[in-house]
Amino acid sequence: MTREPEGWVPPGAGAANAAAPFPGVRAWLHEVFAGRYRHTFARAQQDEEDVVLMLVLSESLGVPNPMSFYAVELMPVVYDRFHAWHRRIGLHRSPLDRISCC
Amino acid sequence: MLLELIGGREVVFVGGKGGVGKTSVAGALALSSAEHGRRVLLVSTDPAHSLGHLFGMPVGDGFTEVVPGLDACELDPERTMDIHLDAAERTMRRLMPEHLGAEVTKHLTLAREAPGAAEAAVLERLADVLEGARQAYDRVVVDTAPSGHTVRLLGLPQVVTAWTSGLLGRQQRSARFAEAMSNLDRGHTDADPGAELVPRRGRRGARGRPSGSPEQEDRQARDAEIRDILLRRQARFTHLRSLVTDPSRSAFVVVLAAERLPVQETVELHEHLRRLGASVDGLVVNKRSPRGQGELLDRRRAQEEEHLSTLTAALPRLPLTQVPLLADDVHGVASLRRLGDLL
Amino acid sequence: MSSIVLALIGIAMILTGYLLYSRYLANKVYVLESAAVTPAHALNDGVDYVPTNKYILWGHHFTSVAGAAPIVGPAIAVIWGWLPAFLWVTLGTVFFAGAHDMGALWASSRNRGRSMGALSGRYIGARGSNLFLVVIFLLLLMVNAAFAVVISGLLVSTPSAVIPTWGAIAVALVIGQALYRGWASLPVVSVVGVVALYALILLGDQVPVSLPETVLGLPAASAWIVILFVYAGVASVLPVWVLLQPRDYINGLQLFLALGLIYASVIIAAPDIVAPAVNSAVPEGTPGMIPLLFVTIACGAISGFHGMVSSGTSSKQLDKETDARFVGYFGAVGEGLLALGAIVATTAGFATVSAWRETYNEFGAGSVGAFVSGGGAIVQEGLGLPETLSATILATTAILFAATTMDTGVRLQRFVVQEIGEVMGLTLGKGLATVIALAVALGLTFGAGADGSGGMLIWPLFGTTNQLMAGLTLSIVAIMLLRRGRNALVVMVPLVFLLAMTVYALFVQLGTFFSDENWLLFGLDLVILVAAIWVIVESVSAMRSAKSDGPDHDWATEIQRERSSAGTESSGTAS
Repeated sequence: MTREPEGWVPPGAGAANAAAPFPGVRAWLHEVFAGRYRHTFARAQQDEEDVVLMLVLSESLGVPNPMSFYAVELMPVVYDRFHAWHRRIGLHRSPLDRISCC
Repeated sequence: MLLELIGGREVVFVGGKGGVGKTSVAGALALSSAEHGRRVLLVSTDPAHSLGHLFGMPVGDGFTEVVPGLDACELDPERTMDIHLDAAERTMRRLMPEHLGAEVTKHLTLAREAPGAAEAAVLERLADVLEGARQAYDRVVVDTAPSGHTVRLLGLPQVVTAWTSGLLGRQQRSARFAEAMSNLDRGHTDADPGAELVPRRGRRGARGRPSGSPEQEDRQARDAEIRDILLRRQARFTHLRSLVTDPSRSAFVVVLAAERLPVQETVELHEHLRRLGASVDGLVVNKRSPRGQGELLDRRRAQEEEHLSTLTAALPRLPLTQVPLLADDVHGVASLRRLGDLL
Repeated sequence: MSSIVLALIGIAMILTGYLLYSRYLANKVYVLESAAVTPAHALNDGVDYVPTNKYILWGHHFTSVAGAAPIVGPAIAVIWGWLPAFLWVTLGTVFFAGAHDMGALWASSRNRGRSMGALSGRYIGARGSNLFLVVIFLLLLMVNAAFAVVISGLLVSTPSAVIPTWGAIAVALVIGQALYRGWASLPVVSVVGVVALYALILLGDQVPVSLPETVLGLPAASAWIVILFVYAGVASVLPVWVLLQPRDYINGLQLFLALGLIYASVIIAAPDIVAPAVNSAVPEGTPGMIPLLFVTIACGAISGFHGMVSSGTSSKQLDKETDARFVGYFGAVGEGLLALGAIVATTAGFATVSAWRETYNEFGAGSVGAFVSGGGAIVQEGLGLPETLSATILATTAILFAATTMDTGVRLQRFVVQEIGEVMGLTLGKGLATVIALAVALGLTFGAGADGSGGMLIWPLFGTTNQLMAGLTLSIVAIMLLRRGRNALVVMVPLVFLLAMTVYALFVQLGTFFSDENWLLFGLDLVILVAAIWVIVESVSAMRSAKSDGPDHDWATEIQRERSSAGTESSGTAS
């Protein structure tokens, strides 16, 4: 992957951003209330996904997994979540020498 | 007669310790069935791979005709493992930039050495073969690896199903949260309400707001893929389990010699299989010492009777077929036919 | 004096502060750059790091920090007259809270969105993270204990609030399930939730519930406290989306409704302030205004808790660094306005000054209860709602605010206990850590004389720990400024003032507890005092070495450097 972290766009790029306008009372109310709730659900979802990630990649993280044959068929699908995961827990570079995503 | 005992069942597993003539019995059964007009496939999961030797011709991982009506196959777990890992590797390489391809390969070699990987590969190929064989053959005779392996092999589906259920549960919960999130915006606007409110400046893989956005769709697609893989895996093993535990579709024959250890192991094997839900249908006591052929053999025969009584005491209702010690090695179609007549 | 005039003056002062002072802070001190990389963009993951429109982010930030403290503090502090409280709230918001909240946002955003704990470790050193753990443990302990006392006090004094308080839990559970399973859309669920809550309030008004005088040997207030802690323990181990988040959600709705209710009533009723500007006849035993005023009102003037929310959540959602001005400073403004409302309610909601003095006959006697009755009177005058109903509404609102703070407080305390355990080499399970958190808070609450009389004694202690946390935050901001060669006076003056007043107040209280022979609180006071001195020592030494440590390379500037050297477009200019 490139050196840039995913999702990064230089701030200031694009006119739409010059000063994000006030969204209108109804939208504002909705976003304020829905937003924090959404965050809670997103957090919970992320936790579940992290568990799946750990179970599938446990072998690579040093935990012998008798299910590793079956984990392999899931690996391609969850592989790119690993990068997001290690950035999220605060490791700038991949913590393993086997999985070098960055 | 063993063949009558088996009746019309489509799969016969032949199990037992190494060196008791298991493969010969399996071969003989297969040949008899074929000569009774069925299309038969003889499969060996035994890493010792003696089918080729039994029929006097090379038998590989594919279906080789050894006799008209009878095909043989020696499962090659290495090949299965290679295919399995290759598929994963190809997909992962697609996701990663060029120079990291080697990393992926390195990573996957770990899986090859993992505990239980070899057995998993055998099971995979076996399940594959059994599924494929339903159409093409009337009967599959499986010459299994020595006892311990067999039990673990047949117990594996249950374990894997438990693991996949766990993962599916997590997936389900994750999907529920995703649904709840998209619900939050229901009744507000039909378009993504976050779109105008968050400066949306570029699509360079940004994982933006999770409601109804392309990123969320991407995530949902990925979750669906995971779910599909897991469900397919579960289905495969459910079918296998139902095959093995259905007495009308599969039979189990245990081959042993009338010696202390084989008898003990047979009783244990019977118990393990019972716990797995499979039932043993018949025993074949092989290499019985003949009567009146000299003092040594008579004494051996007496010992064998003792062991046999232990066996019949432990497993009273199990039909027993006794096969005498043969002068020549079982090798080639003719001797197999002779053995088949004795069963 | 007319309360409207006072409110308008206060609002004007605070708004002027926002317009002028926050601009100065943003441009000259913190030098917020619109082109600076924010964690929300760099680490965008759709969950924690999400660039958010500043008005919406303000909404999130404000509803997170708004609680019962800006109500209780001023309600107690007006015993010294309305003027001291008014001045501390307004000037504190402008010069202290604004700079603090904004600074915390800026400090965290510049450092990849890391929280105050991590920043303590970075700028003060290894001892800094341990210090932070100690301070936050004490703060959460005081929060849980003090708010439990507040809630139980209200449940006893306003029995009509009992049904709505506990019924609200059921409403929250239902809302949680409704949103999780998608039974209905958000607007529908919100309306139903609010209607259910108010229906419960109406019901509670008709059916007040009081516990018998003694329950299993405990006085009624204590029994409530035990029940509260049991509830808090259970609530904190459930998944957040089951109970805590729905409660928080209702709270947010209720916050705006209640604010609207109070300010509308004030505008319509235009009551006069009957309390004296400066109370020359304070009841006997009332501690001196200085220093106690400054630790009685924390939230609403300056509060360390806000810094934690700023650095914990809000900083990860900043769209542009320049948004920190609006989100941080205006967040403090919101708190100040809430505190102002409390001052008005507790000084203008009485018929005469003697009625006021009856309530404020002892330090701590007039607190959130006075807010409820005073505010209730105003709402009755303004909107015509019967007084008991208004009181019930306000009491329920205050209780719900305090309860959600307690919910989060117990949950956070569990994490802190686990982390402290790790530092000491122990691994504590979820259940055990929760029990420890609850036991310590419960012990404190009962030790403080939770039978209702001595309950409010711990409020000033709560104030001191809150200010201590604020002091720690300010010192970190100051260090960051010093290492950038900027003028840190705007942060150091509040820092010195705050720490001085806090230590002074701790000494004063030490004397009080000693003469009252309240050994538990005496001991606790001592512990907090030691922590305060530790904070002072560390921040002084870190600030001294700040100059010699050289320029601070924060994460944002490093990323900027990487980009420009990698040949991407150069960063924009400062706003």
